[in-house]
Order: sequence, then C-alpha cells, then structure tokens
Amino acid sequence: MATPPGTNTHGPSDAQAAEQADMTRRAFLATVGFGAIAAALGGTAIGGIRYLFPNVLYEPSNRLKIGEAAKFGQNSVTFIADKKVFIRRVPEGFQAISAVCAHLGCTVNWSGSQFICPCHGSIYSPDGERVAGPAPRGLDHFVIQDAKDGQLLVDLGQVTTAADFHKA
Amino acid sequence: MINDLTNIVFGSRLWKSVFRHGWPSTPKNQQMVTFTNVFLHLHAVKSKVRSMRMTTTFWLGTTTTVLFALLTITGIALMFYYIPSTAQAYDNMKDLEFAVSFGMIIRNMHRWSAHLMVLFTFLHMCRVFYAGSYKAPREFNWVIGVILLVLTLLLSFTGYLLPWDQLAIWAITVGSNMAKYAPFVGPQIKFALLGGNLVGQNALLRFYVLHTIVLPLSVLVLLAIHFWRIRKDGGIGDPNEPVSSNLRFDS
Repeated sequence: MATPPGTNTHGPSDAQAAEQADMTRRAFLATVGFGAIAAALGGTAIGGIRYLFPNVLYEPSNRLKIGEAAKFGQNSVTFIADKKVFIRRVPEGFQAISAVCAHLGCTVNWSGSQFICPCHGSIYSPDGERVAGPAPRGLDHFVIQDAKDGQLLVDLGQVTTAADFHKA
Repeated sequence: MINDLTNIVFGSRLWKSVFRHGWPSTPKNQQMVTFTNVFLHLHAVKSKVRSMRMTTTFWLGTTTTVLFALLTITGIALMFYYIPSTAQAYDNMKDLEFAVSFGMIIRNMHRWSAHLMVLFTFLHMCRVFYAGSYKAPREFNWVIGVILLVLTLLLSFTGYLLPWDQLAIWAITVGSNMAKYAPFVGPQIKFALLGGNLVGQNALLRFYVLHTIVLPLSVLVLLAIHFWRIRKDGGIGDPNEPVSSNLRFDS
C-alpha cells in the first residue's frame, strides 16, 4: 500500500512519540498543582517566622547622661546600677565599661582592683580585659560623647575598643 | 422498691442513650465499654498481666503522665489569678500564696509536680533503656520519648520565668545567653525568644504563651502518639522477646 506523499517515515510512530514527549498535560498540571501547594506552605512558613521578630521595641533608651567630668575623681570606678555600666576615670581619660559578664550575662562586681563575676568566676582587669574564667572575651566598652549641656553622654548602643579613651 | 428505682433509672431511654452497653461486670461488657468509649479506647481492650506489674515498669511512665495531668489542672487554676505583666506578675504570685483560698497548695503542687515530672521522665527513660525497650520495633517510640523529654525541660524553663522574681530573671538571662552561643543563628534565636534585647515584658508574654499553650499541646499530641506506638509495637517491651521487626507489615 503506497503511503501518501509527505508522510514522515523516518521518525518515531505516533505511539512512540507520545511516550518520548517531555511532559503530558496531566503531569504538567500535577506539577503546577503541587508546586503551588509547596509555594503556599513555604510562604506561610517564612511569613510565620518573620512574624516572630518584632520591628518595634519598647525598651529604655541607650543614651545616658552621667553628669559632668568633674564629678568623677581621678582613678575612680563608678557603678551605674540600673544601666549596668562602670565609669572609669584614669589619667588617659574616661572609659564606659559594661558590667554584663561576657560569659552568660551576670552583673560583675568591682573588687577595688579587678572585675569579678559572681556567677561562674570570670575575672577581668581594670581595663575590662579578660584575665581568667569561662568568659570568651573581655567586657564591652561603650562610646562616651560630650552632651550640649556640658555633661558626659554614654551611648550603650555603640561599642568601642578599650584603647578609645574619652578625653575630658 | 430499690429494684424498681434501679430499673427506672438504668432502663430509661436517657441512661441508655449515654451508656450504650451494660455494666462492665462480664468480659463481653468490659470489652464493649472499653472499645466504644472515646476516653478509654486509646487503651487496648486487653493487656498482658506482665505489663501491669510494678516490677516491670515501676509505673514510671504512668506516674509521669499523671504528674502532667496534675500540672495541667493546677496550671489552669493558677491562670485565673495570674497576669503575665512585669508590673503585676510578682504580686499576683504573692497573692496566690497568701490571699487566695487554697492558693498556696495549688501553687506548691504545681511547682513540686514540675520538679517530679522531670525526675520521673528521667527515671522512666532509664527503665526503658536498661530493659532494652528502645530496640526494634520500638526505636521510633524512643525518639518520640526524647522529644517529650526536651519538651518537658522547655516547659520547666518557660515556667520558671513566670513568677518574675530574681531567680526567674537571672535563670532566663543565662539561658538565653546560652542560646546566643548557637552557631550562625544564635543571636537571632535569642532575639526571637526574648522578643527583644532584654528580659522584659515581651519575654514574659512569649514565655507565658509557650508555657500555657504551645508546649502543653505539643506534649499532648506526642503523648498520644507515644501511647499509640506502645500498642502497635506489641505492648510493653520484654527483655526475653527477640529483637525483630516481625511486627512490621512490610519486608
């Protein structure tokens, strides 16, 4: 039986072509369907996690006026309890040393010659440098600035190095 | 006369609409009641005598569950007088102790049950371990048990903050700083846990929600799976039974 002109006799038959085709309509719709479910669940999960991180915090201000420089004697260490910070004055200048232990957050005490943490025994030098105990690093230092009314201003949100003395 | 009264009550349509089967004094009635009751049917109709014996399990798992039920009941009672506000929580706790009738015993039962539940969970896990009841086909149930242990410890941790006293604040300060040490996401975990940078109102509210809703519901769901798996894995484990996966339906 003669085949009509124009028929392709070299390629695969209709049945074979259907098997080798990239994707049937059914498979495509199934993929789109499950993909949509996955996207919806993923979006919900991401949204849910983002929801748990607050954008607005009602926490007390980080900027603290501590008085005029003359209030602090030479070679003194003054503890400001409610902000958990020590103000140290030495000939090189002022330092604001955090009283929060670098180990697990307890408030350290000034012994007269060093900072000692009562919780797990971390010890820091007068400079806030780690000397002994489980603390992984030294105490944080905060930036001190001059306020417009002549007082000193401690910014508990800005951390600086121990070498950064504020000159009164 | 009593006989007539009994027949009237227990033969009435009202009674029979609630209690479908006769008094469980015959084996058949006992089976029917257990099988068709929503609360009782989580338990198998029949159990091996061996699993009931004190010396098999020391009833440690049962005790832990009873302690959890006690904690739930006393916890709900405490919720009627407690407000998770930094300005009021400590005073509420003091009121519960000294101003509320039976408040002291409710609060003390809650605290003691909490400590005992942690202890009994641990003892129960010891018994399961030394009896080999974690081996096939019970491995999955052991994992469920470990997750239940973690949830129990988290319940203790979140509950500890609620009195808002010195012990509470410092325990959670230390605990959340430990979370901060986790690699990569530590600081974010601490921020999400406390709802901020310090242990304050946000932290108290979050811990309250976790302690009263999220964690108890999770424990409840996992407990149901835990009991179900005991039944499906062949009941309480026996060191004499061969370790096998014969109870699985495939392979």
